[in-house]
Amino acid sequence: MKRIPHYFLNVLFTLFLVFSLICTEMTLLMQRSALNVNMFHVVVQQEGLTDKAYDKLETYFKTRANSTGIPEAVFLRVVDKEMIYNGIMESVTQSFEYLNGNTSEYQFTMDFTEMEQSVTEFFEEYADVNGYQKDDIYQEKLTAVIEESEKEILFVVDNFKFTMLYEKGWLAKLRQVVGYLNVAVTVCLAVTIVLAVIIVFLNKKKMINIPYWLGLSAFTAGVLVSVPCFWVTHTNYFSGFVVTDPQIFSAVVGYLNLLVNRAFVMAVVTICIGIVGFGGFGALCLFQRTEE
Amino acid sequence: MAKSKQKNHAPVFILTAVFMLVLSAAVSAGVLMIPYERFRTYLHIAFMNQMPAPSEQSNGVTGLVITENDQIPTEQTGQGTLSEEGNIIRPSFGDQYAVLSCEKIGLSVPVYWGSSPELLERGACQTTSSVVIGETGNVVIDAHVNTFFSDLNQIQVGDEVVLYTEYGIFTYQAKELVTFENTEKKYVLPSVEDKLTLYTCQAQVLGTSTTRVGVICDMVSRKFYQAGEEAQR
Repeated sequence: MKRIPHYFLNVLFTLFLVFSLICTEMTLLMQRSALNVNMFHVVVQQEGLTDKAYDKLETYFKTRANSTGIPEAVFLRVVDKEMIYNGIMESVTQSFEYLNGNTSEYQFTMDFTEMEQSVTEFFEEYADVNGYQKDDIYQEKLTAVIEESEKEILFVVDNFKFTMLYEKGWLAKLRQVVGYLNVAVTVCLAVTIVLAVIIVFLNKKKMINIPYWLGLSAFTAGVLVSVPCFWVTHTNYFSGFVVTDPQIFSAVVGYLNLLVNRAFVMAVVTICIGIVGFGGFGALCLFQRTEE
Repeated sequence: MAKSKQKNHAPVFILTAVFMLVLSAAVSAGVLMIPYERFRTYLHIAFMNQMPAPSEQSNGVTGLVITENDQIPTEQTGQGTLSEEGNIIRPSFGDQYAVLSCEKIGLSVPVYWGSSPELLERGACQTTSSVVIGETGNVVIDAHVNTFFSDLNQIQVGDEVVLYTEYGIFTYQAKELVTFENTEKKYVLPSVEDKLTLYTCQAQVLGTSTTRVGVICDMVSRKFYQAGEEAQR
């Protein structure tokens, strides 16, 4: 008679353990991947975001040359891929400085001294050759061209649109989440351990069942996470991202796909742990039977 | 006895595993239902794009398909095949569907339906908020001042401007030369009168201008090509 309530207690605590494991996986994923600066570095490398940003700026300056008469070479002889790569990394670093509470606001800027020099030289040369008067209007035009170009470079280099996220207040909300993330991971891990101990305690009289219940929790948690990850990957769900700009598309979709891949790997590892649990349980049963 | 007990327990363990999976899935679905309902619309909007992937034709821009057309006749092919009534062919975004010509200033420019930096690199662009050439209303076409519309300011009142398409020839006459700020929409808005509006940036040394210069042209004649059988009738 005692067996049925004991069985349901095992089922109940296993169910709790399943969700506790899922929460632990998700918080770990957030801490180690989603809100980790290294993840963004990997996306920048994998998706070739430096090249895409450079191509975009090249097109911008070429197009602008059609209406301004300032050759794209004036900008592109100083705005190279190295400068863009450093800018991208700086935007990521600064955003994480803010997210981790090391700075009070998101401050991202780049060193444009060389570009300003290049544009000024072009203006001066043009004015000298064509006898153009270097008056207030000349100065206004020079300032406008430099400001517009800097604004565009900062916009393009900010691959993940941290500036927009900051201005809309979303980065501030994420900052709060990051602040609680370590606590959340610790709590989830502690709850998982407590639940596992409870299951061990429930089965102390028949310890052979412990790997089964623990394995079942891990297996179920792994399956529940892996199925949606598999579906998202298989259907290429993120490729329907509505922003079609190649650079933003690659940054966002690359980031999301990498995140899902890591969640999937984590889920597969959890499934494997579950299978090991089942295997251990089967082996113990066989061993017990042989002894009997 | 012990052996038979072990055998009886095996299905229980298997069924428990299946039950646990189903129960966990049901609980998850129940828990996630509310946030999913809340964010479903946003998810749908964010990942709804079914446009084709970037191609060589689109200059790397997803969804943009640029179609060039060298089959547009740029001279009248005989009065017998033209009529004042006819059907227009509605273009897709990125289609080159006309050739803009002004003999007086030696202008001959391909016209694309829609406007984007990639299309402006290839010719003049017709804004999609204006009417398709041949329909009644304002046909608005623009191009860069340093490329295709560099000589636009040379058009004089009275000059003839012709739009050649695959379905007809549409002739206009320059009526007014205008200058306006880029924020001023008066000249590019739809209108009831049949007219053609051509504009570009005001040429400026060193830097861009917010001033636009343009030409407003009145419709002079509208001639549609007729299908073979219809023409013979």
